Amino acid sequence: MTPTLMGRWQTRLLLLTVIGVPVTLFYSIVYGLLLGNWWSVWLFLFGVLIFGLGWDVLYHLLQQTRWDHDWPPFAQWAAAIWEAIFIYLVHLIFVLLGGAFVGPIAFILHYFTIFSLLFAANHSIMRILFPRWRFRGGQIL
Amino acid sequence: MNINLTWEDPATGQIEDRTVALPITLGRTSDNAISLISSEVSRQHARLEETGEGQVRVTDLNSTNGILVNQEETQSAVLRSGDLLTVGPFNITVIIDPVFEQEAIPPGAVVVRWEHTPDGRTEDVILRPPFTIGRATEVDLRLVSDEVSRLHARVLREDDTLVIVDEGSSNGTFVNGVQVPRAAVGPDDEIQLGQFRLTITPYEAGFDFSAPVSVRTTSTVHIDIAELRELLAEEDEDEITAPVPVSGFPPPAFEQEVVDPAALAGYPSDETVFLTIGGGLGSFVFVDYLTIYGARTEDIVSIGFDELPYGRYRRLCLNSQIPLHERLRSDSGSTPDNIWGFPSYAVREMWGDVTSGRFGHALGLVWNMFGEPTLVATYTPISGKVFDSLDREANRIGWSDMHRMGKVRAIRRTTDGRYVVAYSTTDPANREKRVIFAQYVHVAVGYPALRFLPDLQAYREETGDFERVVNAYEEHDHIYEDLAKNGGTVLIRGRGIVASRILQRIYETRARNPNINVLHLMRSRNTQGQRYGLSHRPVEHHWEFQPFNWPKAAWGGDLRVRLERAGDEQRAELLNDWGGTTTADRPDWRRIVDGGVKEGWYLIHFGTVERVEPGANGRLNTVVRGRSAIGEVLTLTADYIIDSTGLVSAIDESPLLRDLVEHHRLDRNALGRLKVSNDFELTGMRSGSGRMYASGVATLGGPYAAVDSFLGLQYAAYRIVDDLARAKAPNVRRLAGLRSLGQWFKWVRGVKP
Repeated sequence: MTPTLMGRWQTRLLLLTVIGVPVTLFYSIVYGLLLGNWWSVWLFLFGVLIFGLGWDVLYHLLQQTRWDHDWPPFAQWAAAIWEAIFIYLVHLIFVLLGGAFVGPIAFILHYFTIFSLLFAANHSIMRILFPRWRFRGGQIL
Repeated sequence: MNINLTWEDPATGQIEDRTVALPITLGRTSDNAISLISSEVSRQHARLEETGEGQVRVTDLNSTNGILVNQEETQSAVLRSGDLLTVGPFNITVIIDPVFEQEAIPPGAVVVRWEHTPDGRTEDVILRPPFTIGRATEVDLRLVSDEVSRLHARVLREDDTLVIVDEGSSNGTFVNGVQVPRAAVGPDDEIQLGQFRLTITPYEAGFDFSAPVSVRTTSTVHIDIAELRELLAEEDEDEITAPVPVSGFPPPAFEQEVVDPAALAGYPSDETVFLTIGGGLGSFVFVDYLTIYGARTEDIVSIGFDELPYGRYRRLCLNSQIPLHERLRSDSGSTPDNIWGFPSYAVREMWGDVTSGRFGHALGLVWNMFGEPTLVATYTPISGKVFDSLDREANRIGWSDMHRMGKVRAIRRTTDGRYVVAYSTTDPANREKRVIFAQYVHVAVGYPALRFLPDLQAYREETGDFERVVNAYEEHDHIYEDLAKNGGTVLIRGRGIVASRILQRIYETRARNPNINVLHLMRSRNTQGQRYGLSHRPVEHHWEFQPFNWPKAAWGGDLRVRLERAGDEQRAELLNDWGGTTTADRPDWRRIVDGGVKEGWYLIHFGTVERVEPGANGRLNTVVRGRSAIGEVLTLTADYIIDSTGLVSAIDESPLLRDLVEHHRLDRNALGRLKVSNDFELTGMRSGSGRMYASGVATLGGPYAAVDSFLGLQYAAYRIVDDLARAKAPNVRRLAGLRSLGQWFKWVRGVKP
């Protein structure tokens, strides 16, 4: 893909809302019932969204060093893994300050369910529902 | 003093050829004698001037990015004829006045003529003793063969005699059949190194080398042979059947500024809402969007030369050695049969693999899609599969009901706010001269002609030899058949994607006959690769790589936005920054080139061609102003020359577009092509409620870079059809959301939109 910065922000915002919220709701109930932790997954979702707006600026700069100014699938996955590590570290800081601990497996399940769906949507349904999206660097409006 | 400068324009691929009087400056702004439009070039970049000793000196004027002479950075340098001066993306060959040039030939120079005995390749090289001979790149005279040592021999002058000294070579140096460690050689002596036979003669003043510099501009010939034949047939018929000389065609009324429909009463005519001219992929993609947006097929007419929308494209592919099982240089998501780009060709190919049990190949494709273009070569679709998919879509939208085979002669505005188009049908059973009225007209006529290098064009015109000198886009299978049977030497010109294809085909033919050699003549060395901002393109063996012909983000990323927002002049600058001749970074092609260089059957030479002429035994001699270490003139002998420099995009080569621009006094963009709005409208052609649009290569230099690609044609089509929706064209409604989803399902099921 060849996103523009505005395109990255808009797509991130849209997909984390449309896909991220229902998935998080699901995990919130599951983890709430099983582990008694109803809220952490929402913080993860919110964190990925807010920090992500910043990471997108960095990705956009990295893109400028590539001749094609593109952001291919391997970069999308690398960025996702990096953001996962980062948000989990932030969570550990919160734990030190007295926040609730979420085990790595529970985190990975939630995080990568969302990311996989996002990745798939980027390569399929977004192109169908928004036929101009791919020509506009991921910009919707 | 006059000097001659030649370079290839990165945006259009055209050869620029200027002869100028010194001193001059080079720079980005138009007050320079040579203005080079690129962001990598400073306003005043460099100066060329004559020194006191009658030499030419280039000096960097404190430019941001500096200058290179023969690919090496310098502040200031004395130039010799044939030197390569690099300023940003421009590689400029400098030819200095030949009178001066002659003086520059070192006194005591000799002409070394070598012949490779197995295949008869020969070359003349001027050198001044002492010089070295061997296989290594560092020696003065390179003879590439396993039987020649890296440093094989040395030639020096002792008093008035030339002496050859063997430098401890493995296979020895022979003079007149006798192995010698050291021997005096005269013009009649025959020297043998491995399978190379050499003679050394003193350089004489009458050598052709001093011929005056000839300045020619790029010229062209018309279209491919099938189209040409058809065209001639039609013109013959005009002469025979034209009954009354006054009623010419296009109709005389077309000479009016705006045509009154009543004046065309005598011609068979009909009318339509949407008319697309060209009938090729540009027209097809436009009609595809139009029908999916809701337009009725009975409101759409297409006029074009070929029956199939991909007819001409396929012919050019096949001729330039992309058989149906080979891959195109196109992105997986560039799907001219599907406006959404989903499923992409890679996904479809993978699905085909999975359903036929080829899981290994399917997994390979997944890796391909994941890692490209950095970890693995970019996926590209198989040409035959693309044509099949187009057949399916053409069937679905009812292309054959909308398309008419014909040749469009002229386009005019009408007094009732529409357009009228004069065309002749090309159905042999029913040749007719007709007019058609339309409210919305779209023009996508593609590349007007094949490009021929001026020296090759001159050779073809003088000799009438169309067998041995060919354009890669012409049908030329006879060359490979002859090579497979008899072996021989092919000279390739150009280093783009087509040159790669040709080399691949020759490589495959070598499996049947190893006695085939390739001489690749390039205008200049290339070891640096183009730069733009923070990024740059890789180079190997002087071939430069990028996945497609523009950076990917020019299709739908930040570079597309940047170009659209730029002014006219700045667009030309950006296109020069991103353009240039490149090929795809395919591992098999890189192996072929690298193997060819190492095995010695593929040799790269540099220089500008002075002329091409018939040689002995029906072969071709190409006289090159070279720029090897000392050798200045080189004659390359080959059995065939394949011009792989591509197609002509200048609109003046198309009679239809030229008439359109001249008659309606339309504006041109900075590259001299049709000036279109960001919605690809020819705003100068507004006529009442009617609108006219253009897409494809005729719009190069406008709001979009990749105008001639599948995805670029789709981009133009979406902009145009969205604009038609805003203009409330009949039944055309902007497509998005659930309606788009619904249309996509229709595509999946293969039912009419």
